[in-house]
Amino acid sequence: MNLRIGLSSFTYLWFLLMLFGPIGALIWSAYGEGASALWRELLRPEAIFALKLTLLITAIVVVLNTLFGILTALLIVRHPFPGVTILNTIVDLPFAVSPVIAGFMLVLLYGPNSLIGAFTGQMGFKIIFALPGMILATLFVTFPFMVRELVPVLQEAGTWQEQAAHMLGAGNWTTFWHVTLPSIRGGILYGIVLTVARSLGEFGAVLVVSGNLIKQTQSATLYVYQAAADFNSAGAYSVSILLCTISVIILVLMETLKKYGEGKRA
Amino acid sequence: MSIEVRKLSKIFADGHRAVQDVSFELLEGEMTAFLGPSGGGKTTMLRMIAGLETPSSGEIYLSGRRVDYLPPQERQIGFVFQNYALFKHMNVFENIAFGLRVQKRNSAYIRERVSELLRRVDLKGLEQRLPDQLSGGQRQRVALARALATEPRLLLLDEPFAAIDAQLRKELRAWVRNLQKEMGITSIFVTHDQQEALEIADRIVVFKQGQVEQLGTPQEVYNSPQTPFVAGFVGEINRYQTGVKNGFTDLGVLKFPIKHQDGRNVIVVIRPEDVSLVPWSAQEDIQAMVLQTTFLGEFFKVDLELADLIRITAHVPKSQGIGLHPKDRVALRIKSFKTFDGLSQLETVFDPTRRAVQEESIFPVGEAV
Ligand SMILES: Nc1ncnc2c1ncn2[C@@H]1O[C@H](COP(=O)(O)OP(=O)(O)OP(=O)(O)O)[C@@H](O)[C@H]1O
Ligand SMILES: [Mg+2]
Repeated sequence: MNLRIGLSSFTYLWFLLMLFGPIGALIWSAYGEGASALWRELLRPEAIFALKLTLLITAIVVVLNTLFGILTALLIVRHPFPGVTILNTIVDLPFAVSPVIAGFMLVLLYGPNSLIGAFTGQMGFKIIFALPGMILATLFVTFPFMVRELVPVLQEAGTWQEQAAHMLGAGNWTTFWHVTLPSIRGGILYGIVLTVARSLGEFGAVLVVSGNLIKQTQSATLYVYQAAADFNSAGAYSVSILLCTISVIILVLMETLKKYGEGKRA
Repeated sequence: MSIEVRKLSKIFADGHRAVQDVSFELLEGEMTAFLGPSGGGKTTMLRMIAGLETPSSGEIYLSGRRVDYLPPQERQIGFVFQNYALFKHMNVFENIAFGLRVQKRNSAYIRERVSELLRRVDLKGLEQRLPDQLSGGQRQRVALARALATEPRLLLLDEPFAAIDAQLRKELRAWVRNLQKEMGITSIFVTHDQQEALEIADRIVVFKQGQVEQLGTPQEVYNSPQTPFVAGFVGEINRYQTGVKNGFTDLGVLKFPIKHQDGRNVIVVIRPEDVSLVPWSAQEDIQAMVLQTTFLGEFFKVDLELADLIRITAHVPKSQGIGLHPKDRVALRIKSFKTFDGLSQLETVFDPTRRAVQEESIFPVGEAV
């Protein structure tokens, strides 16, 4: 009994230190700056641009990552082919590789001095130090989230429901749309939450590929970094708090949606 | 719809031969049971007919039309899975309506058809429940209603009653049987419960290691098993391996006349209910001692020992069994037996039914001992 009390108070303490502490510190320091200063900082064109850019990247990444994540997970679980174990390992690569190194690899592959980069450059289309590179970098670091979320869900669901649908006359498309997709909906939602959170917060990979050009390739986290480096603490606090708030709202929204989806039929 | 299967085989990727060269024909409107031990290939056979498994070789015909190259969704077959495979995220109504929606029926028709099916399977009022909120028996009935909704030409059921307790199981199978009769839909169900097969099937296909051991009506399979395996799987048996001596089985007191050459190996099979006990008397040919009696509800199972330490089991009526005790001495009469040659093919059936009927009227043995 004593052990349990000890353990649980230790857990709470840990939570306090690791999670609430930093958030509390952020809010506390921001409070010190005064609301009007924060508001002013948030409305600066550079800040607004950075936030918009981050939201745009996040939206595009969520769509692409969801599509490819579902496809990859289906491939791994439902249509195992020779070498599927290798693919399954490669999916985790972004977890293992430092984002900075990931960004560096992208620069090597798509940068102005690379074959592909030179080619697209001639077509008047830049990848690195531009939006496409930032999207690629964010896609790279978020790729495992959807796949890792869906593989166990698909494995657990098995193919019984799909077989039943076929026996009832449903073709592959109908079956996918009305049976497979709804049965992994929870996993998809959670994968989206993780992808959004990571996209909003990605720093290292984006920093390397973007070049951090103000009002061109400066995303929200890069803006915070820059503001902090320039001793503009009010600017750093305001954008940080906004990013945090968006993440929390999305988390809560998805959690609610999930409960709603489970409680009610499709 | 009639089904014909010709030389169907299934070899899995790992080289396992789950079904080997199976051929049979089933008639329109009949209920057929696939019966056999675990791993016998029943599910594989059913899945090949459904199109969920591709045969390695052979052909499948439904009403004379070859279907084995068609995908499952084009075969118009209803399938009830062993685990029901209900759509977890759809309520009962939507589960049953699924096939109708695929057929693009209008919503008035769907509502009417689903409600008719719900009435049939006795689930009115549960339309809005999700599968998780149903009992096993209710899920089973939803699965059945879902399979029937599109009026399939053939209904396949893989161990439909396996996950249900004994009482409900009995009710459900009688109920499914009635429904099937009423609708006249050709059906196949898989089971390894011989009682279930005997009770509700028009015909039984006995599988063993991927091959058909016997196909026949319940009576044929029970009364004239073609192999010792069938005899043992459908009902209980006493089984003796022996030789032939001077035109008789070489089994000591169990000396039966058979027509085979001397020295050959034969298998003698006697059903416990074909062993009747009569009061002990020196005149009787087969004398025995009771080893143990077991009350099994409708009858007693009596284990006996004959001279030469041969053992035999008899099923006797309750009134008779109640008076029997270990070490009692009784005499036996064998009403019928079968012999099979070394290759397990049926050779002799000895079944003097008339005599057997007379013997049954003998008073309880216990009193006379
Ligand atoms: N996908 C598969 N790959 C390899 N072997 C398989 C596969 N499915 C079934 N088998 C094998 O084929 C044989 C027949 O299996 P099947 O499921 O048809 O048996 P069954 O008669 O339905 O048994 P049960 O009564 O236990 O359900 C078994 O030995 C089984 O291990
Ligand atoms: Mg089976």
